[in-house]
Amino acid sequence: MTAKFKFILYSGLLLVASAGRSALAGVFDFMYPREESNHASHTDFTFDLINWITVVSFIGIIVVMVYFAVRYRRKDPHQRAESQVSHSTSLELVWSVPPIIAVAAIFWYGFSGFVELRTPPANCYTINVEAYQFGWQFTHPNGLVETNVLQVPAGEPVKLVMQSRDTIHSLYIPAFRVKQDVLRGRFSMLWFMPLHPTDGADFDVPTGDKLDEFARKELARQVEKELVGNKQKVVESVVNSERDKRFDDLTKEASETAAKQFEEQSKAKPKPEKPLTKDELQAAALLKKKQGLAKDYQYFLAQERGLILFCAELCGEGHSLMMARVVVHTPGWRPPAVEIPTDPVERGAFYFKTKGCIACHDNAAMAAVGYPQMITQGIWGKDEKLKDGRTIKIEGDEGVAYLHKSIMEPAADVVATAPIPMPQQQVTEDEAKYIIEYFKTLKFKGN
Amino acid sequence: MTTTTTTTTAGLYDSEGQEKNYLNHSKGLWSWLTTLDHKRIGVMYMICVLSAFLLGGIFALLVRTEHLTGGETIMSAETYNRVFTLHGAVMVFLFIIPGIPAALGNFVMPIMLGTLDVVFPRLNLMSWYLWMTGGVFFVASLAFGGIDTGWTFYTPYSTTYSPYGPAIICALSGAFILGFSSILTGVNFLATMHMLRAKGMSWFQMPLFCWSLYATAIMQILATPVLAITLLLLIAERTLSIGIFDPSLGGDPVLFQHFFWFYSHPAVYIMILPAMGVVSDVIAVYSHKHIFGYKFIAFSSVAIALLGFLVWGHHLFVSGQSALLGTIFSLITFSIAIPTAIKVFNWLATMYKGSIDLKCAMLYAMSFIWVFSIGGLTGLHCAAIATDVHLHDTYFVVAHFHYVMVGGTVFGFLAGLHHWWPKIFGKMYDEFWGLVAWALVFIGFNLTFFPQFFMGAQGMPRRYWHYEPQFQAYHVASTIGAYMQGLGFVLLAGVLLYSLFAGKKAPRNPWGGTTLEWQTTSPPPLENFPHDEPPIVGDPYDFHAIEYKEELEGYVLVAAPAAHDAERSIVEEIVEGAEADSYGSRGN
Repeated sequence: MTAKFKFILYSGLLLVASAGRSALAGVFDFMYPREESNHASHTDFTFDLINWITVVSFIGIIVVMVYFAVRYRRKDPHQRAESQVSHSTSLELVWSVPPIIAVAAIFWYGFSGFVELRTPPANCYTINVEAYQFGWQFTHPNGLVETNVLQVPAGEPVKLVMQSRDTIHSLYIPAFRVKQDVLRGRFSMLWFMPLHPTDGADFDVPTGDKLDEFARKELARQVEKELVGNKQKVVESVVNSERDKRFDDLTKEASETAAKQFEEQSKAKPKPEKPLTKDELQAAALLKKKQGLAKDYQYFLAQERGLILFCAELCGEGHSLMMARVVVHTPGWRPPAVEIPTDPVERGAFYFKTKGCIACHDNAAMAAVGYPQMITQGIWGKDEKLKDGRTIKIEGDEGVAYLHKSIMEPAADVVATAPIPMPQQQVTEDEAKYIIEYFKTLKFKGN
Repeated sequence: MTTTTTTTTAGLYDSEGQEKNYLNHSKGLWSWLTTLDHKRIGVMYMICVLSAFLLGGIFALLVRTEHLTGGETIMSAETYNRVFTLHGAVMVFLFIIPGIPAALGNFVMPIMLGTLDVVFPRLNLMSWYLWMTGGVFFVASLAFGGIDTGWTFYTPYSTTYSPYGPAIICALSGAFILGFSSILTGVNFLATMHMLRAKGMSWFQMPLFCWSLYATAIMQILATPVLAITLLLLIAERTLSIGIFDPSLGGDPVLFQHFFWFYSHPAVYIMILPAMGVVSDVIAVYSHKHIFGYKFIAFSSVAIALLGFLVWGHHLFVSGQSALLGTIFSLITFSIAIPTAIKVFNWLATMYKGSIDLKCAMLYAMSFIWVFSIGGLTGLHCAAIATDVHLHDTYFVVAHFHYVMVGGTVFGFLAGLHHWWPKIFGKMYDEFWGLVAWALVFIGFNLTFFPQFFMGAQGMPRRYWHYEPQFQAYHVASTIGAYMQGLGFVLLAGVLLYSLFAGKKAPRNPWGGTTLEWQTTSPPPLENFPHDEPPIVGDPYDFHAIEYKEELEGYVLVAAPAAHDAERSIVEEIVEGAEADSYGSRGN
């Protein structure tokens, strides 16, 4: 065989193979969600492979079966079978071979994809996830906490480190082809690299100055139209109703703050040459409102367009409503800076909420098994019984010292009713001080 | 042997000329409730498991009706969780697991072996009473509000978070008791096949249905105790707050999943193997052809039974079990595909050059190949880990296991029911209306579950009361299919029940079967075979030995079936040497 002939043969084979691949590849695409992560193409390729094996084997079996049933159909009760052959060891060994080859190939593709799913790269953008009945809380590295909206940058590996506050949940993003159960008392992990930014996720909202009269009217019209549309959706869907309510709250809040800010600004100004008329004031407030609406509305749309995230493990009556949206931002995106309150008490409350304390200390199910509930039961002024039999009055310097030790060294001085001691927490000395300041405002409400 | 087999009548009629059989030898409810006759116990099981099937079916139709729209259609999310749980639990524990072995196996297996009864008749009756007690507990859990955990009882939801504590304890106790019913049946069948085969019947002259019951019995005995212990631990945690599974008490919820699937995966084979046995026999009989690869089929049943113990971890690919463990479980799971594929090829080879009669039972057996092929092949999607991560807990899995369990067990059960109905009740049903019912059930079944593959692949999670609008078309198609199936089952019940009152009297062997039950009368006498006609043992699939007789509208044995001694292997010689003394110690 000459080298030239070899070249022609191999390139011909390659051409046929690639043509076959591209002709066959798209057939089952209607079955899959959009491919939105790095894992999707491998999973879908494996899926395609198994689908073809399935379809070909199934059609083969059925065609043979139906052909035999027709060809050898008994027309007369006396008709005997044409043959009574009862076995053929060689045939039986031979037809065991194709299934072995097929399952070996499928195993290999399934396995190699799984290895990738379970091996996150070193430089992941890590988000902490807490699942609870019935919602998702996502904490970004900079402290931004969001509920039921997962914001991630495109084009970079994202790792989710997950824990449950109560029963087992399962985080499932179909478009990413990832799923992992989320358990209480242990961390589970999954990773993915989103491929495409969500439409409108990083929309640049025009500010009031840049809007002309026409644009303002147009914007207002659109927003109102959408609002009416949303009202209709409320009737249609239970899930949407919750999101719409949130949207309504947002718009209400935005307009109120806008009006308030504007009023304050106008008050603070050193005597305007001509005081604003009531109409002008209203017009300005309306503009602010529309700007706020426009911004919120963009956010709302991005969420609507965002990829769906399900809970895939039965967790109670709200299971099917335990959904979140994944909003993928343009590459390099980072969450907006979180404003940490300056007031010590507010700052303590902020840490109490964002450091995960509320998972056990503001949770009815945890209250039932005996973990202290700072918000609902109060803490300051309480007589706390400990496992070693002592009772500590949480008050004054002694109380501060006790609380500090309990936060920083959870295994020490465990309260009598707690089934197991608190795990070690990621709280600094400084943060603990603010949390205690917050606790001082939560007066014990009695047993 | 001459053609005179059917002419002997001594001992078959009472003084009034009425035929004596197991149904009329004694009368009254009490005679049934205290019977030790395996045939009557089989019939009682049949009535009970079919009632459970009806109950589970009603729950299924409620679930499908709810899914006509996203959100609330006819019930709240809370009610929905309870309804689908009861559908699953009733179908699995009360119908599918005991269905074929306890109802059909009880009736047919001892006659197939040419013996008088099972080896422990009292134990057999006791297992029926245990089934009834377990069933009562299940129904009683409804009175406590019903369970909402899914039939899998996953912790810590079932131990801590579900608001239906008393109902859960009640249902767990029910499942615990049902487990013992299953174990006792398994022990009984195993001992019967070892001890009571008719004189001269070797292991490899047992019909394949018996082989499949043998493999099933092994699993029932070895796996069910694990479930029983697990359920007890669950009850202990729920009532006494002992921390075994709940992480807030220091337990491990994944441990429960391991325990649970250590039983429940073999249980899948407890459900499917007897159906495969029925199908092996039915296809041979309606093709009038020797089963192809008898030993391959027999040993593949045993291979599936043994490998079935080593694959439970494929239910836990995304649960938090280690990646290495996941990989090993995936590999072993794929190895099970091979004996399964071999069985399908063997059935097709049995039909080759046969004389195929498309009666109802054969249509159900062929439907079994259809649905089981789809169910088995889509198992490949679920066994490959990368695709399973996407498909786990979606409707794809729901469709897959309904194709295996409903397709497998129900179609196998119906094939057996139609096949042995004339033997059990001595009446012929109407083939035409039976065929109409088959068409409704078969088309309805596929319409119900085929769309669910697409839904699941697109990401529709299972156990969802509410769903996104994009899935509605699939759900509506599925619901229409479910109604169609419901209609089919009602018609089927009508056809069979009508035959009891108006059906033609069945001949001994209407289909041309060659296993021993077709040598006796329909229905059989109390002692299974007429006194003066001991069963003639030989190759269970020797179709040379039978011939059609117009005047009987059935087949008769015209020669002794071949002995097939030439094929005996060394292993067989050894096994039989050890068993030689026990042959026929009670049978005939």
